[in-house]
Amino acid sequence: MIAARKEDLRNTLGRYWGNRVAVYSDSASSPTVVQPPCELLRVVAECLASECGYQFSMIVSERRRGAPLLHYVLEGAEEEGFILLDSMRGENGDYTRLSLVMPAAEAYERAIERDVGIRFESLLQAERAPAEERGSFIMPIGPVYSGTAESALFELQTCGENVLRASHTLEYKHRSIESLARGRTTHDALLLAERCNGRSAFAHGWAFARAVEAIGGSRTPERGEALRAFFAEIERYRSHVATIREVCESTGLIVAASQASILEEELLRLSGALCGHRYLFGVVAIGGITCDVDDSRCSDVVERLRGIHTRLRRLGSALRFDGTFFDRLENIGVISAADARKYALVGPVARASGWSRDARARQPYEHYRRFMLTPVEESEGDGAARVRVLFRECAESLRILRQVSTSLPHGPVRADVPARAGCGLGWVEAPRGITLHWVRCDEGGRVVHYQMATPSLRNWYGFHLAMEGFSFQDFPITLATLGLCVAESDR
Amino acid sequence: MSDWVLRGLATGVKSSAYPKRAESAEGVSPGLPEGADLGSLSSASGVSRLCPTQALHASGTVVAVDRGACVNCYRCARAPVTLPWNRGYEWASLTDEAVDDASRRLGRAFGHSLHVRVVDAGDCSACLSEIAQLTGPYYSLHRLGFFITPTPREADALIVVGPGTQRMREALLATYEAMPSPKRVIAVGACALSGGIFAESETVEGATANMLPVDVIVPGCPPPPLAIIHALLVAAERTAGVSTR
Repeated sequence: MIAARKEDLRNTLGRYWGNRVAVYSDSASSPTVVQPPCELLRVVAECLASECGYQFSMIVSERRRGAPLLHYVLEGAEEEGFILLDSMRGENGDYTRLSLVMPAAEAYERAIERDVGIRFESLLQAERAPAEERGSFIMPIGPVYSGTAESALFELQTCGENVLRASHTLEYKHRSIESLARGRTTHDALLLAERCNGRSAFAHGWAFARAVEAIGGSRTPERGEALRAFFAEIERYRSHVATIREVCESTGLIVAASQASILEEELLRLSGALCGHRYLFGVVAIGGITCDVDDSRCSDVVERLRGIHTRLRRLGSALRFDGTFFDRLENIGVISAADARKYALVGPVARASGWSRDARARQPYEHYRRFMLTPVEESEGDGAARVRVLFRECAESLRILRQVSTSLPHGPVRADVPARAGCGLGWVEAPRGITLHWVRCDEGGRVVHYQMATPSLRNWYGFHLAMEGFSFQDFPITLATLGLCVAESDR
Repeated sequence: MSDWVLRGLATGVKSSAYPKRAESAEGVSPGLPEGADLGSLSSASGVSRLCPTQALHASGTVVAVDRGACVNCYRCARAPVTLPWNRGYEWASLTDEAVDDASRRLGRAFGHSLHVRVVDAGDCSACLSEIAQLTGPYYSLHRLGFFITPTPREADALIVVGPGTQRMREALLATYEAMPSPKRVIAVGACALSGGIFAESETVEGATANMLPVDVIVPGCPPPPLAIIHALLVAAERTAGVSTR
């Protein structure tokens, strides 16, 4: 399939540029690389985006023969996987700026300019300047604010009611996870991947493990794949309930927040009883998972989850009929489908804006290949739509859990992954959207280069879209409905 | 509106009986490894080598555990020869400095109630999530007289989570300075105790004790809500912490 896709790509690009654009892949399992000469880079990118439906995901910056080499990772339309578009230094010493044709790449290019110290050929417009409005002022919030919020600095420019400009600074929690992984064994680096966001540790660990498994060319045993999906859906369910709790808290609906909090704690205890850890740390391993769960135990878990889900549904309908709750969410923090697409937003936030991106359906992996999954979608793009998506996805997760528990394959849950030199890309639909992990290893199985594109990193683009033009008082509510995590962006 | 009142009442009491009685529900704690005599030199050194953060030290056949460095990877719990596992949660202890220096005690006036400010110094969001659980019905922190406050000016204790990123240093110190004396600092979680998995990062300061005078420490990655309640009880001197001497 990968070979056929590569051939298609070669034909399409060959029609325009003959053999000036190289299309190849290093090995059968590694992603297809498209390597145009510098002067063609932008038109090729435009062609890939408009004709082949590829969408920007992340930039990986590696060094090759001393000079930085940029891989633009692009996500294909339906089941086409990921390709790399390589960008090299031009003759004048500068790199081509692709954000002119793929706006979502802008923040990455800015970060690369700052951190890697390379120059792009054309200048961007200055960062969005404060609006000129008489009597307006900038209200700083953070980095230490609210009860148990993560450290981040927000600057909201306002005249007193509407927010004119909103900006955020995420630099306070920088632990340099990616450079810390360098030189470690993949097993040790996995612990770092898990802890880039403790609240979706399993999904991040899984994506990292998939990248390493792609390098080793091994397959996880079927039972391991099924149980991975099982744990991932428990995590998604818990993460969505936590976001629902935060939204209830932000609107000041204490009873509803308490009800959601009860469910969240019960889900944490369920995870704790199942595998030892409340946040599923140490469950995923390179090549599978570390602890087998027997079939009857899985059925018990699903049974308990059904009880929890009944109460979640009851909470959902109570909220729906409480005018004060949805009044605070409707038509607030609206992100249009066009903006969601332009900034390549992911996860429930994108799906609430009618931009249906779900890696489980679009780029199915492991156990998700076995069943059809229709991504939940809403079209309004406001806070209320985002909350509705969360409730509906919880139901979907329960359905998947039930299906997995009734058809668990037998056998081992973990396979050995041979240490091999090479690079791999792993992706998983984490609770908040797709997470991509890029790993390059040496022959000894040590990490040489590691980079990740987490869902929150991409959805922070949505922050100013959802804040500007709306009321200042809506800031905490909009922030809660976006469900953004600072730790996985500012890593 | 009255519907919510009825819903709240119909839910009944969910709060844990701790600290009056021990909590017996399953899944309330991720546990910690316990030091043990494994009876053979090779298994002791073998188990201690599994640890990614050097929390296990083998001397002879005995393995000692440095709880503050344990990041709950469960390698020593799932190895062929395993260490015994502590499923409890009463893990908090006073630091040696806090025990020796009487001027750092909060005094009897604070015995019944503490206001706490939480500062995130680079945490992965698991510790913060556990702290957020504290105010929920299951742990209901308020019944014990503890309150999480948004302002440092009315805080008596400072909870620090995360490995102490350099970029949070200034904000953390400013928060501490803004608190009235007497005040206590509680370092929560492996990262705040030792830097945890991030200890070798160039952009973190490591243990909170490198920046502030720490009074109470509670290990775990993340410490479960009950362990954090224990830490608050220790800080308020309503219970004795785990002896570290």
